[in-house]
Amino acid sequence: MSCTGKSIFLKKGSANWRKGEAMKKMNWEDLLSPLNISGNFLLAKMAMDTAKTANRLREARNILLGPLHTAIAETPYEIEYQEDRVKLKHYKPAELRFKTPLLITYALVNRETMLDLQPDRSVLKGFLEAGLEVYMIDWGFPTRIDRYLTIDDHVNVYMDHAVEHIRKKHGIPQVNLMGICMGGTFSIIYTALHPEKIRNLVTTVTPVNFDTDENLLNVWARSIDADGIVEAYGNMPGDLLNLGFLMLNPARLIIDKYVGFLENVHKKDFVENFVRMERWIFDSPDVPGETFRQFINDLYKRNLLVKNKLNIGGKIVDLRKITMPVLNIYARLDHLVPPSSSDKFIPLIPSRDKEDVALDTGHIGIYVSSKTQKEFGPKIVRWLRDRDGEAVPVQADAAPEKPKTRSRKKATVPAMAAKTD
Amino acid sequence: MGEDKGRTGSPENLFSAWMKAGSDFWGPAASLLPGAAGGPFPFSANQSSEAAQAADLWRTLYETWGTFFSVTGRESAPGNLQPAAILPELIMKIAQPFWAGYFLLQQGGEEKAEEKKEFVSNMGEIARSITRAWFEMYQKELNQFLNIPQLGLTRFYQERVNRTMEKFNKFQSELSEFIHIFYTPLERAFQALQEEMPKIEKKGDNMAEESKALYQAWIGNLEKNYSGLLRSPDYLQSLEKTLKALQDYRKTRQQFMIDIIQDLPIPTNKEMDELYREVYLLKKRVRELEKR
Repeated sequence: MSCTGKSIFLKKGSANWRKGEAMKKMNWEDLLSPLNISGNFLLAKMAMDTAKTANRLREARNILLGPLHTAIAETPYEIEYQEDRVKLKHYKPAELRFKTPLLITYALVNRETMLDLQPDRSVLKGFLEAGLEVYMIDWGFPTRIDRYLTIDDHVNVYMDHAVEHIRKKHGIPQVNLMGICMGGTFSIIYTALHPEKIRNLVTTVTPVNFDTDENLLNVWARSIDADGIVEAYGNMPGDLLNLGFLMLNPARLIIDKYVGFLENVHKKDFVENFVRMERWIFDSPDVPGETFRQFINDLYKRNLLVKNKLNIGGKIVDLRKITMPVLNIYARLDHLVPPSSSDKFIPLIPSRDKEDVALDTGHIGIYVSSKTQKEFGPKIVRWLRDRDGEAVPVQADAAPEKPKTRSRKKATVPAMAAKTD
Repeated sequence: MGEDKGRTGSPENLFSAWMKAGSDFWGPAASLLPGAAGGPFPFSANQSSEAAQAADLWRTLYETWGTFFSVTGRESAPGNLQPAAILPELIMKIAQPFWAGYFLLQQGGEEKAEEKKEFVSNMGEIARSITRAWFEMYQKELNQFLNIPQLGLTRFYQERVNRTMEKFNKFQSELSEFIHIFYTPLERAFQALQEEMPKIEKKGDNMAEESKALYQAWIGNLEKNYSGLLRSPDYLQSLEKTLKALQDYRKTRQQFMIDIIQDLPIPTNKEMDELYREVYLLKKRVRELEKR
C-alpha cells in the first residue's frame, strides 16, 4: 500500500488537495493502514464528495420526508364477479372500439397490479385508450383454506367461471384471453381444454418448455422437494419464493439495485417509481400448496405440457387443440422464463395464425420499461384489432404447421382474420 | 480422536494430567477442611450457636456426598476425604464428551490452518472447518442424548421435544454451511478489489470516476462469481440439504406445537387442515351436482 503522504489523485494546490493534506495531519492514514485501505484514496474521495453528498442528502431528506405519490394500480375498475378469494375486475374504456373483450390472467406469484404500475407506464391504460374492454382475474391472497386447490380448480373453476361470466354478459361465444407468466401457462391449459370459448390467445413471458438449463430457476426448481415444502408449509410462502428470486442474482438484486437507489435518492420521480416497484415486487401472495406441488412436479420436473401428457381434472391437455390465432411474446433477457422455455410453444400448436415476438428486455421490463411500453402494448392492440371480426370456428385435431417466428424488427404478420375495424 | 489415544499430547492424556494436577492441589486443601481427618476443626463447643449450626451443615454435606459416591459404586475411601478424592474422576467422566468435542474442534482448526498457509485468504475455509467440526462434535457427543429412549406417561411428549431440538440443530448446521457457501463470492470479490486498488491508485487522477469504476468492477466480479457458484453441484446440494432440514424442523415443530396448544381453546393446524379438506371436497361435490 502506498502511504507516501503525497496525493496522486488531486491537483496539487487545489482546494480538495488542501483538505486532503489537512486530514492527513490528523494521522487518519495511520488509522486506516491496518485495514489495508488506501488512506489517500479515501481521504481525497471524501473531500471531493463532501459538498456534493451534503446537497444530495438535503434533497433526499426533503423528498423522503415530503409527500410521495407511490400508489399503484390506480385505474378505476369494478368487481363484477367473485368466488372464494378470486375476483374478476372489469375495466371500461372511455370509448369502446373492440367487439371482443380481453380477459387477462396473471400468475399466482406476485400480483396483476404490475400491468398498472404507474400512470405513465401502464399497459392497462394503453389498452383502455385503444378502446379495448378489459377483464382481469385477481387471484387474491390464498390462506390455509386454499392449500388443497389444484391447477384444475384454478383453470376449470375460477378461470372458466370468469369466461362464462363474460360470455353471458356480452352475449358472445368467445373471448380473447391473455396470460402472463404462470398465468400464460394456465391460459394455454384452459385454451387446450376449452378451445370453443377462446377467440384469440395472447401469451406473454410464458413458460411452456421446462426442460431447459438456460436459467437458474429451472435448475433449482428441479432440485427442490415440492412435496416436503407443501407438507411443511401448507401453501408455498410468497416471501420464500421472493427470497429465491432475489438469490437468482444477489449482486444486482440485493446490492446494486439499492446502490442505484442511493445514487438517485435526490430525484423525486426516481424515488416514487422505485418505491412503486418495491411495493409490487414484495406484494407476494402465497401459492396454494397443491398447485405449487403440481406445477413443480408435473411441469418443471416432468415437463408434461409439451409432451401432451399433462392431466388436469382427469383430462389430458392436448396442445394440438389450440387452433385459434395465437400471439406469443417473450423477452430475450428474461432470467425467469428464458426464450428456450417460451419459444417452443408456437411450433407445437396447429394454429395457422400464430406469431412469436421477442423483445430485447427482461421478464418485468417487458411490461414496465419505457422502451417496451411503445412496443408491447401497442403490438397486442394491433394484433387483436386485426382479429376482432366474426368468430372463427375451431378446427379440432388439425396438424401442427411450421411457425412464422418473427421478432419485433421484422415485418408485421399478415392479418388472418377478417378486419372489421 | 481414537488414534490420538496413545500419544503424549492426546486430549485424554492432557486432560488426565490436568485433572491429576487439580487433584494434587485440592486433595491436601480438602484435608484442611473442617471435619477432615487430621485437619483442625475450627469450631469448639463453647462457640456461638451459629458457628455450631454451620459445623453441622458441613457434616451433613459431607455425609450426603459420601452417600452419593457410595451409590455410584465407588469403593470406600479412607475417612471423610472420600468425596474430595473421587470428585475429579467423576467430573472427568462427565466432562469427557465435551472435552473430546473441544479437542476435535481445535484439531480441525489447527489442521486446516497448517494445510493452508495463506492465512487471510483461507480464513473463511478455517471458519467453515471449525463450524463443521463443531457440528460433527455435536452429532457424535451430544445428539445421542436426545435419542435416549424416554420412559413413562410423558414419553411421547418428551420425544417430540427432543426431536424438535435435534431437527433445529440439524437445520442450524445446514444453514451455516449454506451461508458460508453463499458468502464465498463476496469474499472473493473483496479480495479482487484489494488487489485492484493499488493499481487504480497508481494510474488514476479523477477520484470520483475511479471509485465508480472500482464499484462497477467489484459488482461485476461479484455477479460473475455468483453466476458460477449458483449452478455448482456444491451449492445445489447445500441448498437441497438446507431446505430439507428446514422442512423437517418445521414438521417436527408442528407436532410439538400441537402438544402445547391442545389444552387451549385453539384449533391446531392439523385439525384445521382436516376441516379445510372436507370443505374443499364438499365444494367440489356441490359444483358437480350443480352441473347435472
